[in-house]
Amino acid sequence: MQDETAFLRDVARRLQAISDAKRLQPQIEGALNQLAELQRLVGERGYAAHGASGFLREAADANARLQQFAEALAAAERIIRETAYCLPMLTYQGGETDGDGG
Amino acid sequence: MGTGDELRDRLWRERLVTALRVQLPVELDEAETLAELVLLHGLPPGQDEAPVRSALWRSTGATPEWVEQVMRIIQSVRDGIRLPVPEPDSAQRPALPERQPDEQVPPAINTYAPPEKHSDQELIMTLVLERMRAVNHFQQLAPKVQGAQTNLRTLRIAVSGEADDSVRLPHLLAEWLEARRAWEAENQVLQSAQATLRATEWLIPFLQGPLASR
Repeated sequence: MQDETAFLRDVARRLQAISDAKRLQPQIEGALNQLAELQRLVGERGYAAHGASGFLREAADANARLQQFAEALAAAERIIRETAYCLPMLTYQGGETDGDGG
Repeated sequence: MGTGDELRDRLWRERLVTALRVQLPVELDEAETLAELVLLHGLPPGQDEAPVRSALWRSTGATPEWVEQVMRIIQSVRDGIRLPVPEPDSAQRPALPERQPDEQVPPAINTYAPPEKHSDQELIMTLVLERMRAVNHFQQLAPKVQGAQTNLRTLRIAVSGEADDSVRLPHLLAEWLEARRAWEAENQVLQSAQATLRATEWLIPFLQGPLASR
């Protein structure tokens, strides 16, 4: 018998991490798209052009958000890996018993 | 819809099916049909219950009392209340009452106790714990039950090979009966563990997560 409290705590951490990872992946994609769009706009106008500094500031902000999302995703993935030991127990299917009492 | 929403909806459905099975009581397929009816008419926790009441009324042709009973169960599941489970001898389901033509749908009456809130997280953990205990039971009991089955089969062969007037026959039969009682007790727990494993299988995809295939 495993230590139920510790096991359940890890299952709860795992569920939270899975939820975080699923939430973060589209946010990261969104931030990447935003960055790509800002880079394109800056590239079109040229770095020295009027208005480019505003895009660059936005790009810096988007980059900072991306960093935060990426760090949070890495933390969630680390927890998911750490708690992978829970899976065999949770996915155990039992087996067929023939129910024949002889 | 996010993972949390999916999990919450699934949890709500499972709890509703279980509550309907136990509280009404009805068979699994009937409980599932009722739960689908409830969900089809949009009763995730916290939403308006009038369409569900009306759908139950129209679809089942049951009496207002029966509809109210189902609504109380739905509300208890939604609010996390545990209603008393019927005694075993009253667990036989009465025939579905017929609605009288002149009966009207009664207004909603809140006669139940204030809700005792449980978070989704607590409920999921309760199910995980049930599954974990079922796994432990299964792992401990499966070899025992298998051994007992082999023993029973051996005894049965021995019994059938004895002549009716054999001195050993009563002894072998008594031994078989004793072995059968032991097998029954352990097999019952094993079957219950197996039922829990099946009933909580739906949790697995949520627990595996996005890294499962890596």
